[in-house]
Amino acid sequence: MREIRPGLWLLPGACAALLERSRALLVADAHLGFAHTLRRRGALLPPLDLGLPARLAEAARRAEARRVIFLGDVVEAPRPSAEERAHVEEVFARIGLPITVVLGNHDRGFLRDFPGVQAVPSLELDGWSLHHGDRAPPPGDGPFVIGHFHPAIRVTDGAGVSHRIPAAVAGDRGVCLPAASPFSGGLVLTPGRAPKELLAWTGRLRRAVPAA
Amino acid sequence: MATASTSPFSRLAGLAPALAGRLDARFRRGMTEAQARALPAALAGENVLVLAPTGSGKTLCGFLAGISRLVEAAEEGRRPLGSSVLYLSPLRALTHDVARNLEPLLAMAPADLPGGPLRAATWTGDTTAAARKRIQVAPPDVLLTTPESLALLCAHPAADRLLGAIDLVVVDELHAMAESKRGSQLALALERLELVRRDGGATRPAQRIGLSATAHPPEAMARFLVGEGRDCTIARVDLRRTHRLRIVGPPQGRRLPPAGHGPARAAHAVAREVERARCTLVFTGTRSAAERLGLALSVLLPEEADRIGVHHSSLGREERALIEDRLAAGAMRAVVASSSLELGLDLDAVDQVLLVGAPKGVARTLQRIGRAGHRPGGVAEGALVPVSLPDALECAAIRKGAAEARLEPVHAPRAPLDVLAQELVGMALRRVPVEEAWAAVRRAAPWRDLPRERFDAVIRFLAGGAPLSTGAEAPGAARIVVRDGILAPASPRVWRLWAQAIGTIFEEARIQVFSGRKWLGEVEESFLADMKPGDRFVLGGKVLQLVSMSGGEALASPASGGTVKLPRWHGSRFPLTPGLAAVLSDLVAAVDRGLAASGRAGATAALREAGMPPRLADAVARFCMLQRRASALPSRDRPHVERLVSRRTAQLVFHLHEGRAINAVLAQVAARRLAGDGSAVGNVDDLGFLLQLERSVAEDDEALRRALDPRGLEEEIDRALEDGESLARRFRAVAEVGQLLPRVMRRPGRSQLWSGRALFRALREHAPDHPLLFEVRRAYLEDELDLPGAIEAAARLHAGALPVIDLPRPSPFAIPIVFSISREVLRAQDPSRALAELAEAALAGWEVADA
Repeated sequence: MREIRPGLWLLPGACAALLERSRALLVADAHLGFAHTLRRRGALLPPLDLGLPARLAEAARRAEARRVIFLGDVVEAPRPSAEERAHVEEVFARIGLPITVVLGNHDRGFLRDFPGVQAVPSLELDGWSLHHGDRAPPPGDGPFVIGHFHPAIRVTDGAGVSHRIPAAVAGDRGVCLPAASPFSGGLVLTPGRAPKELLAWTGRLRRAVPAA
Repeated sequence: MATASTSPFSRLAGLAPALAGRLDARFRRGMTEAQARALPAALAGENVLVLAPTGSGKTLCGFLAGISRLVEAAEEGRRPLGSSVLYLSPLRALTHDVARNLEPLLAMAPADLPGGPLRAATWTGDTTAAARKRIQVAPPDVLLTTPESLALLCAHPAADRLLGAIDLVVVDELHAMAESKRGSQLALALERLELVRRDGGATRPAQRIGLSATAHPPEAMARFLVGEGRDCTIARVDLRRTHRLRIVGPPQGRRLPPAGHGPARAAHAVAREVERARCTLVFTGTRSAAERLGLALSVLLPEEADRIGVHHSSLGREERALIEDRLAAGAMRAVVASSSLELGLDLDAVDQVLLVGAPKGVARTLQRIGRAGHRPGGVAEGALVPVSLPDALECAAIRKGAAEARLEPVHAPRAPLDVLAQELVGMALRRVPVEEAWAAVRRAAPWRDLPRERFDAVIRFLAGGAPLSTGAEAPGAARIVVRDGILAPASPRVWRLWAQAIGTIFEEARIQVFSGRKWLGEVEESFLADMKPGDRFVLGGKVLQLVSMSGGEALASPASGGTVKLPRWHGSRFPLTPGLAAVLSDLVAAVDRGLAASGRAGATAALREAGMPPRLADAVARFCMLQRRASALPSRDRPHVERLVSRRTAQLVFHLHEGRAINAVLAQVAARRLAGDGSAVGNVDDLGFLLQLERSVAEDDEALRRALDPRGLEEEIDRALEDGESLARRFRAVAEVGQLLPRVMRRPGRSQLWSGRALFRALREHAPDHPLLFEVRRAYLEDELDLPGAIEAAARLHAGALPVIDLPRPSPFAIPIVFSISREVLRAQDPSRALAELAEAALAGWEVADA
């Protein structure tokens, strides 16, 4: 585990973070059912999940998490097909812990589609203000934890191959977690180049914690 | 220019008398040689392949039989309601051209023809919805279209009405399509047409007439045209015509650069040539180059600026049509085009053809210079204008190859499964029984050896049968269903999903550019992504200013001056053929001998003999001298490796004059043998390849020599494809053509979320026998690489010496490949290993958490 900020850790591999005090696992941009949604839209893919459900369950176990908070975009699309719904419910069941969903732009229909799951627009926990990050920040100084931007850094190796590696990025105002979805390549950021909508939540970016 | 024959049309058996008289009146000199050879067979109803250079009167060869039968049918009261003649060409410009030129021929039918005068209409991607509606309501006698539109029409609700009565199919510029997946799709679409005709009561296949430039071998082209089990007469007119190709160097005081594909430095030479002729057609290698050169010419020849035009396939239809019309009418001074104007009818007004940058093959060169209006004596003239010093050597090689008229043999893709998938959906939309589909597919030449298991595998995939990651069976996304042995669409949505994405040409997401309501053309999304309102760019030779952009559309307004950005469109790059690589190698060896014998003068003499003008020959001689001094002058018999090291990285430049297809194999194998688990970036061209590796793995000279050992090469390339990146990179295109990913998903802006590599890897893990995985591998191995050639080359190279020369900076010959922008990642190490180097890596100011 690597520390992003005191009390907030990035877990290896799973692209999930841990709030130490409450032992809450934070998962941003899981986009569960991504392949299923593509299938619904006409792609002839098998319903791949690229191992994310297994990794999430394992991460929760290893971190001894007591609850799991999905930081928005937990699903890819509203009005799930039968197989999408089954997939999402299976993931939740496999995690086996209380689940809270902070709503994002891809899960606007979540309250209607999955009525049994606790879903909120934002959440205060351990001194952090948790949001998805698709809107403008509320008044106040945070500190915030958001997702939505799928942050990544670029690393060039000795042969000149550049690798895109998902990373948590942090500034004085807040932290942005990388996307948990393995389908996402990630948006490459540098301290000098980041969307202003992101900077509104985090402040000037200083620190990057790669999720390897 | 056609050799006139003394045969009048009226001597032809089977020609409608009404037409014969008018043809003789119009063509006083009688039939051309091509017509004399082809028309008797065509009028007898046989399939014919006409192999002749441009300007041989091929169009008449194609249409006459159909029009003659139509006139007779009309006079006997049997005129069909649907179209009788179908014409196919690969380019919309050509299709519109031919439609225009067909009018006089159609007008030769008797004025009082029962059913009204003969009509022609075109249906292509450019055709408006209203025009398509009119065609459906009142089908024309002659329908002109493209292969993609035919593929669509065969499944269209109006298919029977439009196509049921076709009795002649004319395929133009056959050679241009046979070598790509477009040709594969065409071959299948023609068999689907037969199924539609059969539903309409036809008892024999339609007559097929193919019009082609001289291609080799003719029998293969004939088989491609007519399919299995059918006969074809070959009417061949030889390339007796003389081709004269000059090489044009830069004017006094200007010099060519040592590398680069941009035409900028050739602009002055081009301008000078343009001034010397009335109307010049200028060909460049890419669309960007056409824009660049067009702009440069307008600046260099300001008085001619409105008679200088740019033409390429990313420009809007109106723009293109305007240029084409003005060019045909002789109202243009110069038109700069990419391959979009390569095919087509004679342009009588054009008296000069310039090729800026060496075209990558003799056939293409001859095709392009053949576009000019023809002088008496039948000499087709053109000039090659090199854009860099290495390019000058390539131009000299092309010139020699063209003089010997050495044609490259046609290589058609073998049974591509992505195209099969696309066409099978088309058949499902027509509810064709599986066994009939199978028989139809096997009749098309590229598919004749298709094993039944592969056919079945594609059907299974389209029916949603790919295995699931969870291991449980469940109905999946499907395009087709098979019920009682009949293919059918899986849902009403299939028509739209399929029709929207017809075709085999893979393109980046494009943004449509408008000025007011006028559609100017399209540019790639990545180009406009970095621009803000107010930025200027050039399109169609005109400077535009970006006004606004949203979704897939951008609004721009005319502007002038200032710095402009040039769009870049990704297109395929054609390799030099091995034959030409050998010619170039011989030339370099001759220069080397000249240098050894009498220094610079000797080198210049060798180059002058190869056709270079004196000043250019001198500059290239100096370039070669510098190369010799830096390391050595490479040739096929004297290859060498140059090594350049920096702190972390080593660059290895292998100078091998084997042509790109062979070099690509050697590069993959060398990368794997040297880099192993680590990363390797490569760049391959016709004269060698570059490998960029971690410094430590490139320092063992013995390992470098062993990298090209022919023993184990086949297994090595297999493994390189398995654990390298090259297939992942190419998978996207195959996935889109092959129906795995709908094209509509690639909307501008969404691309950053979608990792094609992740999909490729996941699919390989979960469905290793997937037909599209088979296809991406087959296409790369068979159509891009030359494995047998590489094995032979490796044996030769390994037997000789391969010196390794350490250099502080790239040698002159290495500059093009070292500084080329396009690099391909051949192998990528695990990202976590790359992360381990973070301490040394530059991270642009990040404070990074320790591992």
